[in-house]
Amino acid sequence: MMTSQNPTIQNQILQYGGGEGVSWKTLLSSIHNLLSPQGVSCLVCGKMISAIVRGYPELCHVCYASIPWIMKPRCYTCGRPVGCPDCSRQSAGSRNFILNRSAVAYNTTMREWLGQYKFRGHEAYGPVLSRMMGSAMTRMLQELAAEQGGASVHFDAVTFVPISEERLMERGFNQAELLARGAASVSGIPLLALLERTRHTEKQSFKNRRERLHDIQGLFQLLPDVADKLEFVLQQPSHKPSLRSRFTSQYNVTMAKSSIFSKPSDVPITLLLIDDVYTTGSTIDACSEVLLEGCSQLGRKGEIYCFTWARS
Amino acid sequence: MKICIYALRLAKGWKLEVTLDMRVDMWWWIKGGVLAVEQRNSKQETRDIEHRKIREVDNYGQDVKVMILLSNSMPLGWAITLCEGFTHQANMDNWTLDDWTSYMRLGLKEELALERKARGDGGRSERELKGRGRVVVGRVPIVTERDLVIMDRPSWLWVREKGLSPLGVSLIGQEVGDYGYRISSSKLDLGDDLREWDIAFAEADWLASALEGRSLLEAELQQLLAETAPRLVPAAWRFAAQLAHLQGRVQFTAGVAPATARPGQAPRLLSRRRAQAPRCRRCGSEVHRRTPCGSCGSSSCAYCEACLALGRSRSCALLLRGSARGTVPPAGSSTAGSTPTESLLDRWGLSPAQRMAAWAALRFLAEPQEAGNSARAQRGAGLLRRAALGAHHALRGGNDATASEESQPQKPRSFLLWAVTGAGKTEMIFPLLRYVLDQGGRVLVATPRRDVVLELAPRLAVAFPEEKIAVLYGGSPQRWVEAQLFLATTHQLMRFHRSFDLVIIDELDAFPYHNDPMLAYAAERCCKLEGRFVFLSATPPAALQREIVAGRLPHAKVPARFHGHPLPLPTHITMKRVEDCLHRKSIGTSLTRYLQVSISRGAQIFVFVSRIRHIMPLVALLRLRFPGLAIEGTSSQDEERASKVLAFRSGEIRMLITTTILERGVTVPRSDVYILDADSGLFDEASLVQMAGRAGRSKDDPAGVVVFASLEWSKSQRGARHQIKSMNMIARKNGFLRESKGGSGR
Repeated sequence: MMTSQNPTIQNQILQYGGGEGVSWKTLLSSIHNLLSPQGVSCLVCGKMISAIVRGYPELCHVCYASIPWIMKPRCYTCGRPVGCPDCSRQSAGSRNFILNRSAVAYNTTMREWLGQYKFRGHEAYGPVLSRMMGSAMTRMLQELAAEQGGASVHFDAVTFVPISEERLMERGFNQAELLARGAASVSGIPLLALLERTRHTEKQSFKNRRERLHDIQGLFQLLPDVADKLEFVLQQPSHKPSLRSRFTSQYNVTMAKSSIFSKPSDVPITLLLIDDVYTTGSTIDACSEVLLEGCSQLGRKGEIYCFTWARS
Repeated sequence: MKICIYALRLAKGWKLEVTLDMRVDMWWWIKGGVLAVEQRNSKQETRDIEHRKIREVDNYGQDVKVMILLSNSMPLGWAITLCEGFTHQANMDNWTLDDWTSYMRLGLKEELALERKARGDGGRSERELKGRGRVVVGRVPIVTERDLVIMDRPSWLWVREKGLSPLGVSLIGQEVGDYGYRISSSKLDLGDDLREWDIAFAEADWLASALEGRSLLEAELQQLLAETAPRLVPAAWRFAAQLAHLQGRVQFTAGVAPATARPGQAPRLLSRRRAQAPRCRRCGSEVHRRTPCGSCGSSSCAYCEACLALGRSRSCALLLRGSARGTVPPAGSSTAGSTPTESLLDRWGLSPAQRMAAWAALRFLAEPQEAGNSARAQRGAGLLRRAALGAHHALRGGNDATASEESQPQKPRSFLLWAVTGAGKTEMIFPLLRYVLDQGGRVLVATPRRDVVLELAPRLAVAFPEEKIAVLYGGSPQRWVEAQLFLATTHQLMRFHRSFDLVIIDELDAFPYHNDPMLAYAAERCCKLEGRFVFLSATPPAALQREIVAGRLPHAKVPARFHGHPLPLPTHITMKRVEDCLHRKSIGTSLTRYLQVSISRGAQIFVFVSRIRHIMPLVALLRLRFPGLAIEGTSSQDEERASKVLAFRSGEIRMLITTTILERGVTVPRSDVYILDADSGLFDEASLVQMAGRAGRSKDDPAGVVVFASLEWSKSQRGARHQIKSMNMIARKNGFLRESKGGSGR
């Protein structure tokens, strides 16, 4: 990719979360809402926006209301909002990821939005989708924390499903990377590019289930510098926004410092893998498999959680 | 994409060029230059095949002195900006490579500033994402370093006295892999086998003719190649396209480029460019959105949001424009057979009114274009834009790279067929199409809506059984079909460039031409410089009507319907606002009385309202008032609109409440029209005339009822009534009406 000219690890990390600071954006967006001129039209339907939806100034009320958020997943494993025969059928051991959560259900409207962004290249949708990832990320972290009795889940890094070089040339951007930025930014988790495609394949959306499963064999591999990148983020003070860290920053630093030294190598590396749509789960499963392999190269176990924008 | 840019010193001066394959250009200029000199010195005819090919182009004899590679891979938009802003300066002969670097930095000042801005704070999208003051680690390094990564450094390629530089040798000797061609460095030959050259030139030939009259983005060209030339090695298109470009048959530009870049402009380096948004060169729209681009590496690559539906046009997208289609000799003057005779009109079964207008249009087409006409002609070309924009907004996009074209005296000329609703416009264009096709011309019929295209296609096929017709719309299977007769939705026009001898534009005043400079731009571009426009409209926009009054727009009126009955004249009744009626749950007695008459005469009833939100409550109210009658409502937001219209046409639905969405194109036999709130600002004169035109269209029931119901008798209503009345008067005067039914014209 473009950054490969500057091979320092620092530069390979696309984004790093820090925990501090007042959000200028929140402040400004409310002022902006007050001052925003009349006559902004909705990104989706093109109608004039009469009342601004908080956090989504590009959308009108009607279009915002059409987002089918998944507030409570029915299937623990794949995050489907409806009962899920796939996950009960699958034997539990064969899956390489722990679970998947999705921001929205993949209905016709969402398909249209993603299509506008990804295939048409209407990149104005990017910030909207990315913000959707952010709010769903918060929700997911809460859900997982509640499950673990209030202790928040810690992710070492966020990564994303890669696209091929040919596709990048043609499309100009990787939609999963943008979504990953959205998810990483709210949670302050470092965002790393860890995977690449071994070959260029036809668009997944044109294929049936069997073809996809067959096609996915050996499709992904680790980038050459994965070990360095992971080492780097594992050595950083923990950015996990735990309850304890709120007491004092002093305390936070010591806690963080002690945590590297105390971290035994049998504590798994936890990664959050991002993609746009979860259909059969074969893509993220294949990526998870490769990521687990990367963890084992570091002599560590890995735990891969998946987070997708839409669940079909 | 990224592209290679180089400078070369020709006998007449310095020149910047972009290339898709440097090897082709080196061969072209160096070998070509050497051969030219040799030939001039020896005056000896060689039978060298390369020589033969070079001689075919006008670059022949322009001996090249120096070639400098400025950048091996630069964002295409930047390279195009540099090329278009370039002018020769005498001291360039003494420039060092560093001078060229600073020249490029200066020429790309704005681009680099944008880049710095986008990068400096992580880019806009990133800044948005940074959210609560989070830090971006691994921020891209300082801009100056990155500039060079994106731009590359200049280096010598070839100097005539010294020969190829090591870089030049290595570029030419490069393993070519899947390009399919090999150029050997020693002799600058394209491989040992001369057949390779023949193939390369044949492919370039083929590509140039496939692009003739077209304007395609690289991605579209790829689709075209995949469908029509599957044998061409995928990567070989670059070689072929570059060869065609050097031959001057294909023009390279960027999908989006600065609005002010103008060939032959004073050195842009010194002049201060106005901060103007760049423009899309495919659709002419202003472009405001910039994003980081994985394809060219720029962090601030602009893309056009207006024409996304046809594939994304952006700063770094290569836009290929073929040469204009070959000209058909202007009809009339020289060749005897080309003068139209009225007998051309006989086979189409036209009514007297249609016949008269079609004859006027035919004579207009046959009129030779003289030099003296140019001023008048030029006027005609701007009409479309003026029609789209209103008289006072000139489309500033006109002054991009084709400014030189714009100032050419020869411009497409236009003719307006002002035909009342239900006049039978389609039949009238048949003789025009026939005439131009018989001259060997290419014709295009453009219409705003896809369903009209689909409806018209079989009719054209019947009328022109021997012609190959290409039917183009979003998702059409015939996208890359070549034909003489094209039928297309307006958006498809953007894929053509100086391609047609006759462009017929249906429903000129309808969306999407109306107020959409993008489509006006596209329509203007697709016509040959000496081609003609024929506009069809029942309600031409004010700007065109003024042109008519001023006598500047040739036109013909078709004042009568094909069945020879006058247009139904609107009756006004006073009625409360729909809002109030709904509030009081009563539609008032006069409207009820009229509706009752329509119902009992068995008519299909259109009720037009100004607001979508009135539709459903009004349906409920009317259902209460007329129980047992099938009443439905539909609007642009109704997914079942098509099926409801069908049901209404067949009589299953008797009364349809709707908005201006159905003001055009819908023909329902035996229909009456009611327009409520006719004084609403949302109904202008044109749309009132169009809505009124839904009534009385069939031969069996020519005298439908049209009612304007409103509180006030507004200017638009008066205007609409006046327009209808005067059309009827003209029709009567010309004897187009069947006098037996004269009663309803009053």
